[in-house]
Amino acid sequence: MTPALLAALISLIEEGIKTVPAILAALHQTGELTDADYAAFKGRMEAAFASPEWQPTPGTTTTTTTTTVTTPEEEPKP
Amino acid sequence: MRRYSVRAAALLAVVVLVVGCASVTPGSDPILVRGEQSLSVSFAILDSFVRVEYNNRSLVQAKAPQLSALAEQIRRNAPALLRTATQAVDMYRALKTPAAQDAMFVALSQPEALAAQASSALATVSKLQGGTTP
Repeated sequence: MTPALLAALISLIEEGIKTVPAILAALHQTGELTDADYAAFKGRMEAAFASPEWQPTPGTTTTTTTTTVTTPEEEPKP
Repeated sequence: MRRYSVRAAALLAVVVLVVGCASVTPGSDPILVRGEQSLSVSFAILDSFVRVEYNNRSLVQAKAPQLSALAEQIRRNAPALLRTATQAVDMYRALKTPAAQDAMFVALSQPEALAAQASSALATVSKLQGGTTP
């Protein structure tokens, strides 16, 4: 095993340790998120998108697929 | 690659079973709870994948360049997909209508699909040994 591979595996484990609690918390979620918790989640997500790890490499191109969410015209459930 | 697809499918099946069997607090909307769970889990997997690739880019590019390509695809596409899914969840939280429910699950399906790819790819990172390319 090379030092680079060992570093990669350690990184994988570290990220796994960080990710598992988030996934377990989501799986154990039994009720709707409060507005504050939901806003906190959105804040964490946007902060991640702004981090260097999430910045695309300049000069590369990838097809972007988006879905438009339209406002349903139905009445809310009672 | 097929081996990893099978593993990813098995992992997803376990997740779906666990999620599907989990109880929902009385008074909570199970559809919304599932939607929020899907959003959280998809984001956690995608975030983890891009961070592992970023922190080991030279090794990943040398041993498994397809993982770097997937990470790049995620960096370019996932933010828009996750924001769209978040808007759909917002809309369902506000309206709670069948149409909003359908729109939410359609919007969630795309980040879920990317997360499934990333989770399969994460397994291949642990297989990077010597000169072996997965």
